Amino acid sequence: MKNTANLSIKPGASSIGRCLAYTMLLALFLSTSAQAQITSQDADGQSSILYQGSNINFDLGKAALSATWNNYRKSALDSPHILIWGLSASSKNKDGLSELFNQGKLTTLSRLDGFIGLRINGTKQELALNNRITALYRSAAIRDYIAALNYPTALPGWVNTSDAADRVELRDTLKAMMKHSAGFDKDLASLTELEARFKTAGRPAAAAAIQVVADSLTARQKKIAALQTDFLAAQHQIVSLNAELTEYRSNHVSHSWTIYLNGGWNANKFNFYSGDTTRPSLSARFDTVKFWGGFIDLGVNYDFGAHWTFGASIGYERYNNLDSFSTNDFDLETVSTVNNQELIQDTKYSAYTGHYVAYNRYNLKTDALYFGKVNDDYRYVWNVLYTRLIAPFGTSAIRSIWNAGSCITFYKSSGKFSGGIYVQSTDVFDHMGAGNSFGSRLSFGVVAKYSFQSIVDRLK
Amino acid sequence: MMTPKKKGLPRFITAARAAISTAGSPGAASARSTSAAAKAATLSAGATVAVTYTLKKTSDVTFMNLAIGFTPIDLAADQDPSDANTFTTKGSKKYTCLKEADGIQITCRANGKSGGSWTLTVQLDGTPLGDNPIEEETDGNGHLDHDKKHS
Repeated sequence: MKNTANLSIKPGASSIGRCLAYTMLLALFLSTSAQAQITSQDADGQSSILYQGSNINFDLGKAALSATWNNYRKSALDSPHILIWGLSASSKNKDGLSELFNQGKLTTLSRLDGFIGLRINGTKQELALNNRITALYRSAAIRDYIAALNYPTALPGWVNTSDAADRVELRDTLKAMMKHSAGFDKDLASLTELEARFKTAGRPAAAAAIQVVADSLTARQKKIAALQTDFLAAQHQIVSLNAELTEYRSNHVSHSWTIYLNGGWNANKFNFYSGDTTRPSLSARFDTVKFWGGFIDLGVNYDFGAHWTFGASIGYERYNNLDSFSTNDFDLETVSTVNNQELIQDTKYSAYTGHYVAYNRYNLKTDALYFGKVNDDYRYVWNVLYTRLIAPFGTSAIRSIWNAGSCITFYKSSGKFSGGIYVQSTDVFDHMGAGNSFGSRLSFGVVAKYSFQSIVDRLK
Repeated sequence: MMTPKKKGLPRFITAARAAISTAGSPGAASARSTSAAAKAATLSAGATVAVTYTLKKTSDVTFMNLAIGFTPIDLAADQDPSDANTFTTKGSKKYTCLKEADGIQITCRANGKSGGSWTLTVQLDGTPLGDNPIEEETDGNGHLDHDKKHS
């Protein structure tokens, strides 16, 4: 009796060149890192279901489920300081849901992120002027006057007590006055005319009722007259402060600062083929690896005028190189031979292969965005120059790398992303030692989804 | 002999004319509102209107303030719960605003990026404003300001 074990790797599982591996690592990093409101890790969310103020994105292709809670809606309104925060949790099968259903491959990726930021708006002069105008709108001088302008809405009881022709006529006249005043003078003139007609017709009760209405309108007019001086003064002040603010704003561009802290944890769990020949059996060469990583970024954004937003962030991250691996399918055959008969037991494994490294790194990111308008339907955001420095420390297996590029993305005027193009060098200073020319390290392509990494995105 | 029409006049017409002349008299107005007092005749024709509105913006736009007919609009309260970029008077809510003879003053201050815009539609006592929709786009300074009378 003999036992043999054959380990075969199926076609399609080839080793990947280190350069390509790092490119992929970068590409994945770019596509999955923080975007909308910094926290939404599901950069590929194809559909968005809004539920109780939280966004739940579910993309079958990427098998990602994420939830984002934030108070970003508050930034629709300017105030001197806005505190913005957000929390995002996501979990997905790295290999996609279809792979999970078809192949049973499960490589979980979970993330929990949060950010807190402070946006500081405008100039002191501008805000002071705006506050003075707002205070005037709310002042008693304005509010009491506008309240006094309201015509009384209740008709004197007498006019409601009968459908006699004279009362209906009076009722209609008074209702018309309440609905839309043609001015005190005209209203009073029409009441006077009506009263005269009733008196001539020998209807003193009706004439007296009109007198009551006229008295009430006169009292109201006296109240308005008493309030009018203050109102006119306040209104005049509002008009001149508004003119002053318009003048100021025509000579100054808008600007704001945002300072934020963005942090999170991520975890993955996956099968790994170690290739360790010292292990007692072939099946013992498969490990289940659990990885816990995390990151923290400190960033600043400067919004300047109609066109520019600048952003920079510095951060620390615990990362692994899982993204550069490929999955392989293994068949482990155990053959038992007894009396010229062979029994073949086939065990299937799906595992990652490669040189696995978990390491620490610094991330430095800068962006310079230019906002522009194409036409009434489309606008664009040109990330004129972005740079990403990824600097590992405590390991020699991963080299530091500078990634720089330029990217133009187009949006529908409503803000919906519609695509873009980019050109970038994944290794500006050839730290990977590819040895080829700068030009050959350039890549360009079409953007399906993009995030401005060091910038709190304002188009989502 | 007095006509019936004139017979009915004296008491309230006199009182009312007195009220109006008080409002318009230079003595009653303070020095700083001289030009405003000159508008008294126009303003006395002003009336209140019940205003409802819908305001939509692109996501990059932030509002500093919106006032319709000298009434500040509470944008924070009117923001749509499911769409942060839409503001509207909800349910039976109405703003009591001043409509002057030459129209209703609409003032808005907003900041945004190139290509950004806002659109406002207003109803006065349920009737759409003739100038609807009122729109602004981001200017060269990153502003989308508006300060005009509409009817």
